[in-house]
Amino acid sequence: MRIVDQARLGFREGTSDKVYELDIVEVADGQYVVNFRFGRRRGSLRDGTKTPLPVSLERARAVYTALVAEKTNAGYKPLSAEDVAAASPSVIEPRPSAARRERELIEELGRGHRSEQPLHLLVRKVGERGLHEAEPFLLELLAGSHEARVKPEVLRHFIVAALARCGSSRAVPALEAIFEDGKQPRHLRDIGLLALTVIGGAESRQKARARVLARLRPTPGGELGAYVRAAEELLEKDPEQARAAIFELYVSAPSCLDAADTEEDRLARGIVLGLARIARSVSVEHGPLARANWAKLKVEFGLLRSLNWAAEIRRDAELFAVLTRRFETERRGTRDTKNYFRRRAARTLRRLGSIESPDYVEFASALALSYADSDAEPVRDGFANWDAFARYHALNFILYGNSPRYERAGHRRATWRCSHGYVPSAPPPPNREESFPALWDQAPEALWRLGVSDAANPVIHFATRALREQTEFLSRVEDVKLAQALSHARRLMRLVAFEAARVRAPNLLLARAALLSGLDEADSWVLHWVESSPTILTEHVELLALMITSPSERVRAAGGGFASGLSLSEDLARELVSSTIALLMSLPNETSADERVQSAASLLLRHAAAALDALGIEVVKDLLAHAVSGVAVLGAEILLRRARTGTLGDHLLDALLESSHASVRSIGARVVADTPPALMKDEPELLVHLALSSNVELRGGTRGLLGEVARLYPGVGARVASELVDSLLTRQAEGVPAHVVSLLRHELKGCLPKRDAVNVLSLVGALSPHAREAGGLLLGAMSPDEFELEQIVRLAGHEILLVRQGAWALALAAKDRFRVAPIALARLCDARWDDSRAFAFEFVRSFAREDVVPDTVIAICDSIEPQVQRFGQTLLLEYWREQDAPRYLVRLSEHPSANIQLLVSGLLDRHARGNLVLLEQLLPCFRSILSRVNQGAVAKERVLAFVRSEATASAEAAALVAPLLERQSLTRAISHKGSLIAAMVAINEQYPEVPVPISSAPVSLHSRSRRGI
Amino acid sequence: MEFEHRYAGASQVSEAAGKSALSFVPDLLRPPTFFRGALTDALPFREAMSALHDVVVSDLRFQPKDRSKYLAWRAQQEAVDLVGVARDRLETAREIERLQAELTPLESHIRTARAPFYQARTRYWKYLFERDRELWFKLDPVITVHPDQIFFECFSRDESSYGRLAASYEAFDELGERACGTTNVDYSDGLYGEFQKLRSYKRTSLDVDPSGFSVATAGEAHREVKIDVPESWVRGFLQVSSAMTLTTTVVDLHPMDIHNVCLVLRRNKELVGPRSLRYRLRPGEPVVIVVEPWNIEVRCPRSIYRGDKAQEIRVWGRRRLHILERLLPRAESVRVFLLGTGQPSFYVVKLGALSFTLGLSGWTKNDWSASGNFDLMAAREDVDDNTRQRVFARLGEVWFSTAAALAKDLGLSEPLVASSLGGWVQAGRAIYDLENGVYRKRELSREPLPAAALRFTSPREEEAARILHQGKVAIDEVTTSDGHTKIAGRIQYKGRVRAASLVLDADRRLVEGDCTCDYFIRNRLHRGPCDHLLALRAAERRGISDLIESSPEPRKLRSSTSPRKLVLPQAAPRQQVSFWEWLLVVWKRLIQAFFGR
Repeated sequence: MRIVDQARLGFREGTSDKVYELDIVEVADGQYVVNFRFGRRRGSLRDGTKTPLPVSLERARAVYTALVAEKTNAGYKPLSAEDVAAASPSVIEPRPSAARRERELIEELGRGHRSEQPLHLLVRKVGERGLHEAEPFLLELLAGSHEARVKPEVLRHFIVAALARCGSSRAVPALEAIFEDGKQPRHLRDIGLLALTVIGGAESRQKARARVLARLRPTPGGELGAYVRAAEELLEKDPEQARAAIFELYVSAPSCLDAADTEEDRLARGIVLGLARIARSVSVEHGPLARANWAKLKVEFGLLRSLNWAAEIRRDAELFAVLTRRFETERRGTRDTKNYFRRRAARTLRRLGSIESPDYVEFASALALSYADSDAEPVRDGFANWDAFARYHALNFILYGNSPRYERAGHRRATWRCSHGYVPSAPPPPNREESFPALWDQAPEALWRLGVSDAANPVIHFATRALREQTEFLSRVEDVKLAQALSHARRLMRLVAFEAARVRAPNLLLARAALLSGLDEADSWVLHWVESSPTILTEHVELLALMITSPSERVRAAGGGFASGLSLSEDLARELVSSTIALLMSLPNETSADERVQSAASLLLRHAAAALDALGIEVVKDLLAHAVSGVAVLGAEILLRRARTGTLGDHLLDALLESSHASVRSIGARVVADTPPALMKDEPELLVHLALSSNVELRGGTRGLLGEVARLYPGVGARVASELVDSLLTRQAEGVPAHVVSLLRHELKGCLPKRDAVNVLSLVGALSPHAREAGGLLLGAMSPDEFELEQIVRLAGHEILLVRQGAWALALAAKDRFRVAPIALARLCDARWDDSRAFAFEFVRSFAREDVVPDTVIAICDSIEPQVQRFGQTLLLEYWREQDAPRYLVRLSEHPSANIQLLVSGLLDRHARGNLVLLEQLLPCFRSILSRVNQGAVAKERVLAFVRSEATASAEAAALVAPLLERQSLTRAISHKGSLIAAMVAINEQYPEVPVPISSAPVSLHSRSRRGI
Repeated sequence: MEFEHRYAGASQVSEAAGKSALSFVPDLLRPPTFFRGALTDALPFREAMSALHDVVVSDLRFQPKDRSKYLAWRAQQEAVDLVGVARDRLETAREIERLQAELTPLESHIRTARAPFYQARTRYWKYLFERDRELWFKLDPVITVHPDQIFFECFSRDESSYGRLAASYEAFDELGERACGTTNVDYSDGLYGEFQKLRSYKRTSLDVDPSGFSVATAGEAHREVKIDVPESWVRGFLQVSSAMTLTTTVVDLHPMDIHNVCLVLRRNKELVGPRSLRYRLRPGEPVVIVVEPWNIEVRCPRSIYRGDKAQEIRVWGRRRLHILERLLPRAESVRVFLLGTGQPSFYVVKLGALSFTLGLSGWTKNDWSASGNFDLMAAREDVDDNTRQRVFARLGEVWFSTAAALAKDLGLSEPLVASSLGGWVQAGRAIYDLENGVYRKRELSREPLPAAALRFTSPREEEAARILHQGKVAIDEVTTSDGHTKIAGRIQYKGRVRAASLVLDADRRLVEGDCTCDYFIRNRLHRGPCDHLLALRAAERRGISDLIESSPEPRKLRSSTSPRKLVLPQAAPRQQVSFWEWLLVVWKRLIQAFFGR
């Protein structure tokens, strides 16, 4: 740390005479802060910082320059050297020494009420310092004095409390008088009793114990919990009595557990501490009883208040911490009272610190230890940021009394907010922030205790930061403690411990702890040691076990390398195996655990397989039952090795198959799958059982075995397949039906069972899609004679592809029957699935030309599916025979589709001309074509042309078509109407006997001259 | 309104060499109704059934175009276009061009890569669409077997078209056993496809399969179908049925006349209204049908109007006539029954032994601006319940009869019987057969429908009906200008007289209204017309005009030109601040003062 730049400014105007100092300080490499001090010249200056967190030099300089400019503009001027000397803190009067201060206090107290200082504060300060010289003055004051600023009983309270700290036997009569006087207030009598027990020692404590209610008075062999419950009950029933009894119990026991000689004392202290932690005498209820409850609560708080005073006076850090924590977290009671206690706790700490009392560290560390990470609250923001522990006033005072990032939220406030723009997630500043760092420096053991504890993270952070500066202390810490801290403490403390350890000579204890610490540097330190001392691993195989199970992949790899280089004797291998397994068994169930186990297991299987095989069966069972799947898999691997060389007991196989780990179960399945097919062929039920098992790994693992058995022994395969097919019609575990279908499609493909049509159709019609698939598989192996063509056609339209494929196979097999069934063939083409249609088209084309009769083509054309219709039309053209033309014409003419009607109209001219019978049959078709509204123009043209030519060909034909012409001639479509009228005119001219609603009138011819042109 | 059916299997058409068999599966929950017969000519039946299918799936309501994809594209394109507009930034434009050039092949590649997915998805959607096509039908068709005929009835999805195919037994040459009654039949889209394969050269049998009833006792699994039909659908059905019983104007048309009307409609597309057909009827003269808005006259030279009063009737929803196109080649005649302007109309197409009745409601869309046909369901004459039951019981015995014949049988007056029968038609338990002029018993549903509850779409319609029945409506003025018709009148009801006026557009839709009642003043037309407007409209349609001597009450408050009170400028009312709000403000100020410093 060094000062990079510094400025001293002064301002003088009227009575105002002040200085402002600021400097840039380098706190670490590349990290700078801008600090300032200000205040009255020659007075004590207040510190502050403009950079809560270290910044770069440029940034710091910018802040610095801006600040100097701001102050200069405000009237500040740089100070001269003399001014600097005058303003520097060195000219401030040195703090009076403690002894001088004490002397002054005594003198001041001696002035009594003539003193200018408030008397009760003087008394308090004397008491805090435990100044025995003050006793006569105190006794004198107790006998008769008053202080105008406070009530008389309050002053007496202060005096009695001070006597408790600095009194002797001379004070006992006066104290007894106060205690015995029933008119004195309760709190004063309590303090009097406390003072008596403090001054009187064990004897007076015994007396106080004798006053305790019999049921709360501990006896040897008594149970602590029972006493606490009894005290709670008493608090509920008779709070006043309970309060007195509990306080008497407290003062009758020593203020420190170590000082308690007897079991009764320990119990008495335990009862009070327990009550202070948990006692809930009454609950606040609303309604008529509320007043009574509030009264009880008041008594309860009175007790806590008395205990709090007593803890302060007796310097009972443990009770102080318990009570302070309770006031911080208590939800009951009035807020003002609780806030008073919270503020009082911080004040007590501040006073202890300010008089440099060693008790400060005791109190502070006891309180800091009582907070854990679970006490953190949600971070809040608003007009300020509030960190997770902001609500704990005393704790914040301990940790952040000199912090640039936190400050008390205000006078009389008991919370701490973020300051200087600090946000809770930002990194903390590198310098120490706690109150009274000097006191902590004098008690490094307390810091160590905090560091290795489970306290809240801010506490650990504070302790480790303070400990780093305790190099001398760290060099003195024993190896055992260091190792403990390395392996079990929080990461921050592990770093501190490792820094202390790395400067020492390595040994097994530290190396083991370093490997467990999870610190990269620590790993490197151990690896370096092992590399430099090759024999170390053979001397300490445990170290190798630690390395191969290390969380660090690098260490595991190095451990593997070392293990390969070693020639492990049988004993060493056994020792390595036992150490490793012990370590593995202690692994927690974390995601990283599997990786560590796999690495260690593969190494053991490589280098110490024999030792693994020699493990006791109980150990293997323990491995199998472990929560970490990798450990269980190691156990399973060991069993698998044994199964290959011998046989496993059923219970072990069951343990494998019933494991909660899928990988272990799959190894179990491998054990089963290793059974020779020759043995399994006699156990078809077992094979079925395995295939239907709800254990997915077992199903998958035995799949190969089943396939092998089916291949070698088709009869057994067929039996298994048959039972599996039946199983599909009953409810099975999830995933089983799909597995069964997969087996039937692959492993059991060659030995599918023969079933009758009814059975297969019931499968195909089942609700389960897997049963339908199985039905489809069986279809392919069936004889088509068992099905009617209609059924095959319907199956070809099934939703399940396998069923459709089965239907195709059946259709191919029933080709001869389809040949003579044009309707069935057409319906096959009319399937609603593209693949079935494509099959059907190919199927139809596979017939010989003479087999595709007109009825087949017509039936295919009859479909309303455009694709099928087109196929039918293609067939019509490909398989056209002149002699079938009339049949095609007549039958297709009834088709409702415009396409087919167009096709028909195209055939008219060639195949219907002059055929009266055909003409008569086709008339409905013509009417249909001509009645189409606004469509089919080509077909209409063709029909009109055909009709006209036919009508003029013969009178019979004209008579046939005349009604049609007459009907259609009403159309509004001009072109068609013209054609129709022309046809009727032609009929009328050619065959006048044929009735048509038209007659030709002679056209009168006019000469040009008559028209006047 | 929920209808529940139970079917044993599915209706199907099975084919074999030279024969087809239509087998309809009836509802097992209804009284056994069955029929067996072989059709003499399957083709008219095929065409008529196809037309009936067209009625079932007909939905001509306006479907707004789905523009979401276009809007998404436009949002994306907008940015590109904006930059394109600011071409002066050449650099940016070049960069965009370069990126576009880079992007185009990438997008093309993406399209190519994703094409199989999109195709498969489209196929899957199509499959789902086809598979669940039955969901598109509102209610399975109703089939009724009577001693003289069997008929199928259905109603369209858009609640506007009614179809009835009646086949007299002359259409069958082999009649098997039958049981008279009404039942629903299982109907699916696949069945329509199978109907198309009927041919005259194949012998076609028609069964309403009675085997289901015997199977039902064997305890086999049946298919339960529950259909939730909107009340408006049932109301529409009943309104159209009821309309058949009213006095109508009958016009006989040649099938080619309908063909010509359809031809005009197919060849033209209207962009503005009116979208009506005007039947110009002059006694002894050919019917003229004017197709608006082009005013194309379709003359029907062979269709002479035989009525005795010249009139012009306008009907809307004319594109529904395309349903009849398939029937035209086989049609012998078309008889049109017109109730009046804006009222339902019926087209009875004769196909030999078959007849097809297409009933069309006044408008395709039954919204409030066009509807108000509650008076179709009005009771004609008060008939006591005992008489009604007697009439119905007698009709149940004979299955079909004219009102006169029933009156003679029961010894009642003919108007009384006709009124009773009208009530049963309104309740959906009988129909009026326009072709033969007889009433037929036909139970639309298994459970009787709540006809009274179905009559009105709103309480205002009910009130309007009461006004027509108990009050007086005077039509003071009917003027037509620019295609719009303004009707003004007074309504006297419960001792108060209201003045109301309404304007109907060229399509007879209510577009403006005014009334002095409270309901109208509060809501204008936002919640539909008030009861007085509805009553006025119905009275005008039915030609009612009473004499009201008193003048209407003055309007309490004119909604459009109400005199405004003089409002003097005032200070804003002082807000009531609670103590806690005040405290909060003080705290905030304190905090600002403290921390601001």
